[in-house]
Parts: sequence; C-alpha cells; structure tokens
Amino acid sequence: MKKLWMRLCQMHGRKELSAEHLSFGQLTIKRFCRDRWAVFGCIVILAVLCIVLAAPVICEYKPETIDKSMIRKAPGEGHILGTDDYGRDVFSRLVYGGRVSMAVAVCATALQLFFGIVLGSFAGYFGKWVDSFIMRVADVFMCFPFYIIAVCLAAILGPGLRNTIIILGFLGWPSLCRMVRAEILSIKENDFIMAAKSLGLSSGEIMFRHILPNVISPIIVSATLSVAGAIMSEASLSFLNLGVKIPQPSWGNMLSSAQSMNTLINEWWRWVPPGLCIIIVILSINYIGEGLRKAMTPKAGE
Amino acid sequence: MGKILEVNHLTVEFQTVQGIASAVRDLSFDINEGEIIGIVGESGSGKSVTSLAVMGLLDENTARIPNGEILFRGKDLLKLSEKELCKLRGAEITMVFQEPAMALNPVMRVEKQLQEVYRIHARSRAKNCRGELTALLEELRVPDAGQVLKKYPFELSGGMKQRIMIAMAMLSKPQLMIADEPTTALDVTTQAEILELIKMMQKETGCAVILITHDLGVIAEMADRVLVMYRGQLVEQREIGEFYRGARHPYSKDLLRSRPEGFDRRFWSIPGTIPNAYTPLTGCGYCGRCRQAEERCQDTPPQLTIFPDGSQVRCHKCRGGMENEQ
Repeated sequence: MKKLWMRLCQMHGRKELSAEHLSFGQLTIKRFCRDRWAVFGCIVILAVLCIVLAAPVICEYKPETIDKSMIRKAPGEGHILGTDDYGRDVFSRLVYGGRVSMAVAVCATALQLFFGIVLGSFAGYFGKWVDSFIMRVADVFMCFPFYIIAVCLAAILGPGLRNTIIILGFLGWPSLCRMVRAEILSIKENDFIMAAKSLGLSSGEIMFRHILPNVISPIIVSATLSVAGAIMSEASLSFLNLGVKIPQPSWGNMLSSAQSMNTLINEWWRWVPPGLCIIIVILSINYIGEGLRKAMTPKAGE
Repeated sequence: MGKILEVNHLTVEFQTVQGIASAVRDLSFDINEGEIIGIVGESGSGKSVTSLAVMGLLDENTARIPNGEILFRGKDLLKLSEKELCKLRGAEITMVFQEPAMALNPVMRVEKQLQEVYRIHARSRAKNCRGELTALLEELRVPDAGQVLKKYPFELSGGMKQRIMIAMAMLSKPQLMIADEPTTALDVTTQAEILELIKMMQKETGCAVILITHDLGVIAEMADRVLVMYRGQLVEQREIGEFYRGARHPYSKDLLRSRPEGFDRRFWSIPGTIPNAYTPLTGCGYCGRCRQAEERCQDTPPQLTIFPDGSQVRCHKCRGGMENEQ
C-alpha cells in the first residue's frame, strides 16, 4: 500500500506529501491506502469492472447463443467454464451476467441516492410538517417486508432488468433518507451554519454549499455498502425468477437455473462460478466501504 | 451623527417544554453611526439573544418576539421578509461569532468562504477578488496570506480563524458589526490583538460595533458606551469613562468589583446565581443578590431612570438623578 501511496505522491510531483499540505480528499486517500483489505477490494472491483466492460473482446461466444451439440459440457476445450442446459457458454454468461449485476447495482444505488438525498435533505433542513410527512412515508416503506413487496412489484411490473432496478431503487431509499436527515439535523446546529446565514446566504445556498458537502462522506460510505446490497438483492430476485429474465444472463438467474439436485451434484461449473463471483464482489465492496468509512472519519487513527 | 440602530421595547421569549422563558424583557437602546457600544452581563442575561434578534437569526420554531421593534436606518427588521433580510445580512449588518473554530465550514477552503461574501453581495467575479482578499488579510496581519487562503479552517490557529471571521465580516464594508464575545475562545495574548484589529477596522470603515462580552476589561478598551444587562433587562447604560468612575446600579458595581485586580486581593464574586429565565420577574431582577435590597425591591419593579447626562439606571435607590452611595 505504501507503493501506491508513493505513486500518488509522484503524481503530485512531490517526494512525500506531508500531512499539513493535504486536502481532505488526499488525506482520505492516504488513510485508505493504509487499509490492506480496502485496497484489495478496490483492486478486485477494478479488475471485475475491466473484465466486465471488455466482455465482447474476451468472450468467444455470445451469452445467448444456443449450441445443441454442446449441452452440459464440462470445462475444457473451447468452453473454459463448460456449457449449460442449452449449450450456452458459461464463461461468457458469467461475464455478461456480471455486466448486468453491476449495472443493476449501480443504477439502483443511484436511484436510492437520488431519492434518499433529496427527500432526506428536505426533511432535515425544512423540518416541521415537511419532515414529519417525509419521515412517515419513509417509515411506511421501511415497514414493508422487502421480498414480499419486491415479489408483488415484480408481478405487477413484470420481471426484467429495468424493473429490477426500479424495485431496488424504490424500496431501498428510506434508510439512506434517514441517515441524510439525521446528519443534516446535527450539522444544521453548528455555528457555521448560523455564520453562513449571517452572511446573507439563502436556504438553498446553505443547503447545497454548506450542509451537503459536510454530509458527503457518510453518504459515500453508505452508497458503497448499498451497491453490495443491491447486487445481493438482484441475485436473490433473479434467483426467484423475478429479476432479470432468462435469456439475458445475470449471476442470480445463473444460480437459479442450476437448482436441480443433478446439476448441483454433477455440474459444479454452473453454480460455483456465479456464486463465487457474488461472494467476492460483495466482500470487496464491503471492504471498500469499511475502508472509506475509516478513512473519512478523522478520529479513527491519524 | 444619525442613529443607525434603534431597538425599542424588544421582548424575546422562548417557548419550551418547561414553559415560557423570557430571555429579553422590554429592552431599548440605540447606537449611533461609528460608535462602539459594549453589552455586558453574565451568562443568561440576554446579550446573545439580543444580537441574534437583531440579525434575525433566532430559531423560528421556539423564539417569539411578542412586541418591540428593531429599526435599522428607520426600517423595522422584524417586519422584513426573509429575502430582504438576506440582502441586509452580511452586507450592511455582519456578525463575528464567539467560537471561530465552529463558525467556519470545516470542509471549505478559507478562500472559498471569503469569496462567498463577494458572490452574494458584491456581485463581482470571484476570480478577481484574490488580490483584494490577500490585501485585506495582510491588513489583518495574517502572515503568508496567500497560503492561508488555500487552507482549510482546521489547519489554522484560533486567532487566525478569528481574523478570517473578521475579514469576512468586514469584506462588505458593513454599517453595523455585531461581535458576540469575539475573544472568549482565544487565549489572552491573542485577545488583545484581535480587539485591536476590530478597533482598527472600525476606524477605517467607520462602522458601528456592538460588542458583546462579559469581560469588563474588553469593554474598557474598546467601547464608547456600555449597556449592562441582567435577566434580559437593561439595568444601566452609561458613557464608558463615567461607568468606570462611578457605576450607579448595584449590579454594575458588583461586576466592577468582581474583576481580578492585582495579586494581593482575593477574587471576589457576586454571591448566588442568576435565576433561570422561567422565573417570573416581580420586583427588581437583581434583588435576590443585591446587597442594598429593600422591601420595595421585592415587589415593585424599578423603572428606568434617565439622567441629565443621558445615562440610564434601573434601580429604586438611584432615582431622579440622586445617587445613593453607601
């Protein structure tokens, strides 16, 4: 990790940056680089992203191409990870499935962030009935048993990539909203907000220029973790055949199609790779989130 | 010299769970252009609430102003809309806060925070103001001003932060600056410097200053006139020299007596504490701790007596310009 840090220093054209001259961002990166697991997670995620983005170059076969002569072949010549029931190449399904999983996770998180930040800031800043109203709505959403509502929504909207994103985004915002609200409530009490008011800033300016930048670090951390949650939820929904629909691959529906006892016992290559991918990616993201949390809290070390 | 600010019969109450707390009771004072007035009183006497009321920064959810007016150049600030207030705040009335460490946004560079004043009020391009900012900071004796501008507040010392706050308050060349205990959070050596700077800036721009403090030494050094507050009331108002020569109200006398003086004398403090703001005021606010209290002080509220020299005292014992020395 020290190497990485040195590289960063070189990038800034200095031999060694001393703590005095570091901005908050640089300090965060420095602390982040000290956390092995977080850096490990970062490397893994970057690698996965590269592979997934380069899918068309890496994969020999299209993920949907059916080859009846190559049904349920074990890993070997041509097919690195074998084939499935329809003779589709497991490796390319895994890679394209990763694309889908990542896209769902990122989009769903973006949606959650949008709702969470906007509603949370309104609730926290304006207080009074705005706050009560938004928080009651959030409470209602938090009371929903996730899978039952997700199943209902999937039934109403129909399964598919876009609807999975909508479901995850729609059901996931309340916790973020609460966190943003709580942070804003505590920051609002600071003297510098009153000082900003005394300078004549309007509420909007105070909100966007003074309060939100102070809330950014917990938001980043929580967003990272929610990416992991979204990958998990997408996999579960797809496993229940309520998420991404079958010719389109996703890690969840790959697992789902490998449910039969026969497959589990005899065709390990159909369920081990997607399962491992989910575990590794979620673990890595969680490490990153944890690393960021530590790095962004100045009290924790340094 | 015209009056820049006139506060008439201002009353501020806080609606809390325990009941109504009266923070400021029927307070009237005024301040002339270019004058420095000091407001003293111990914690809980309503000094800060008064300043927040003038700035329009009281918490709308709890604070109420049942009556009174705050006239800034003849305009009643209490009747202005939030938008009109925003235009005034930071431009014509500015404020320096007690804790410089808390009053600067921790995630914004100093330069950006200072630029905000320009952005809002001066409407000039933020890019062009760097030279001006550096010049102002240099005037405030900030060493290495160019570097300081690039720093975050947590990288600066308390005195430096307070200089930045003063710069922020002075940038728009205000007509009135409220300094709410500007030196309380600083160590003694820095205090004197900061006060000197405030005075210097005041002379230069000719703005009026309301200096809130509980340090009589600060008042002596800075103010032209002093207002003593107790339990939200004005108890004495007097020209500074006169005040030190002969304060009339027993509370002022006690305050003067409780200054640390020399090494041989034991530190004297006023016995008792200030009653909390929920306690209803029946007679004189100070009668519980006053050494000269009589029976009438318990149940008859003393009126503010105006003396021929313009000073005001609220005490039964010094009415009609007649001093009652013991």
